[in-house]
Amino acid sequence: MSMLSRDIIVLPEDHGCWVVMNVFTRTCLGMNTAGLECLRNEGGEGVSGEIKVWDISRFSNVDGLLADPTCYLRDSAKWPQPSVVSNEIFLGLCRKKFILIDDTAAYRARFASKTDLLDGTHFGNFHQQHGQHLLLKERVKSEEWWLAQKFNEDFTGIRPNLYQAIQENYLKKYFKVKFTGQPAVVDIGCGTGYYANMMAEAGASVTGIDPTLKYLDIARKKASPNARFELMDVKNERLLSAVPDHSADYAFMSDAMLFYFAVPVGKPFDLQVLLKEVRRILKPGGTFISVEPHYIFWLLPWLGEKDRPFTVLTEYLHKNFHVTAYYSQLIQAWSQGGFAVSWMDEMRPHEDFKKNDQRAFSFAHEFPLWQLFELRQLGRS
Amino acid sequence: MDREIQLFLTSFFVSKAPELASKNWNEIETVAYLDKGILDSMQLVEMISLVESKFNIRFEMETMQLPEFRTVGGLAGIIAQAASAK
Repeated sequence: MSMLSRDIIVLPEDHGCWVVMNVFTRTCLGMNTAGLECLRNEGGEGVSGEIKVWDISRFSNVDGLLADPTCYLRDSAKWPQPSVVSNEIFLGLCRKKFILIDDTAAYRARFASKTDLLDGTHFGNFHQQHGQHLLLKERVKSEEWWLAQKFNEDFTGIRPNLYQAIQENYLKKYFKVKFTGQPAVVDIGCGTGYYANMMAEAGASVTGIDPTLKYLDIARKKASPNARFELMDVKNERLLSAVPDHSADYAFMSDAMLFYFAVPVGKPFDLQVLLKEVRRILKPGGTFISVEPHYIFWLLPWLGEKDRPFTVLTEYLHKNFHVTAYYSQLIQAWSQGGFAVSWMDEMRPHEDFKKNDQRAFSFAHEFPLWQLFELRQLGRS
Repeated sequence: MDREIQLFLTSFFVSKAPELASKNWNEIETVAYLDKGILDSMQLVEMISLVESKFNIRFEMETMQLPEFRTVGGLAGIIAQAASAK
């Protein structure tokens, strides 16, 4: 006997229809009131009128790392034509979308890591779902997708999304204040060197280090006179072998630390190996700057009105989506590696971004999407 | 066509797992290549791309997630079906 999942929410849409969504599986169905009545009556006794359904699913994460993750077509004006379906077909669709559940224990057991790229049984975490969609559905390599969603075509700028409105906007000002007097900065995981060049233009002498040759090729072509780029030595415990001992005033790392806690497949990298290297390259009194996705309120359905969005799903200690670590995990790992937090800030979008995307602006205005930590070295002043 | 598919898959999987070279098709077709760790994610993507291009077919994501897709023999059957449906 099917039962209504306890993980669903019902949202009103225009034209007398509804979105019924399982917030944990991020699957949903658009339906008319007759459909809702059918669900309420557990099978359709006494339902009047024909049931209409709209197939509104789409893997919205493919729009970008910061895109609305609700996985459905938000603009009901763009919904496809509805299908008129029998009660039986309707209930079958609701089972497929995990709105109705036949076996609660079996359903719960599906919330586990995917075993491999073809695993369609387990829901997996955010990275796995994303990787699976990119590789099997879109047929795009994740590195290419990552570049395309963040940068414009010639890598000279960040696309006009939340990266630009929050991260770039914040860091541009931060670098100008921080990097006066030509400090030596090492950008760990520099990617295509966008921020490394920005730091160099703000006055720093920068060494960008990255494990991906393809990114370094782009970085070298666009290098600022005060920036150079070197390969990260990932097969060696001396990951940053291109940087001499105690030569850096600052080490900088953005959007990379999270991969030390959650990776698509296999074992996470060892953060202590990295922290040991950071201590090796930093001068006494040198600072490690870490910019990361905010560790609270990360992967969420952005629901509600555009200017007043809310979330119905968060996760913190026990992860299904597993994008970030939690604070005690992070700060204890830093302490173990010889670092202590000396300053922290939470980045917010600039007001102009409201015109680009009211919903994204309002959401990020309430729930910061990035955090910046400054870490000092314990026992070395 | 079936023979061509068998030869193609045998050649591909032997290149990834040389110990299969001494086996005949009846043994190779039972191999669960993912569960046995013969292919990692990137090699799987490479295999999908090679098969699609060789037999001029395209797998849907739902097809790739069928249990049959996970064994060499099941995969051969899916390829044969897709190729004959063209």
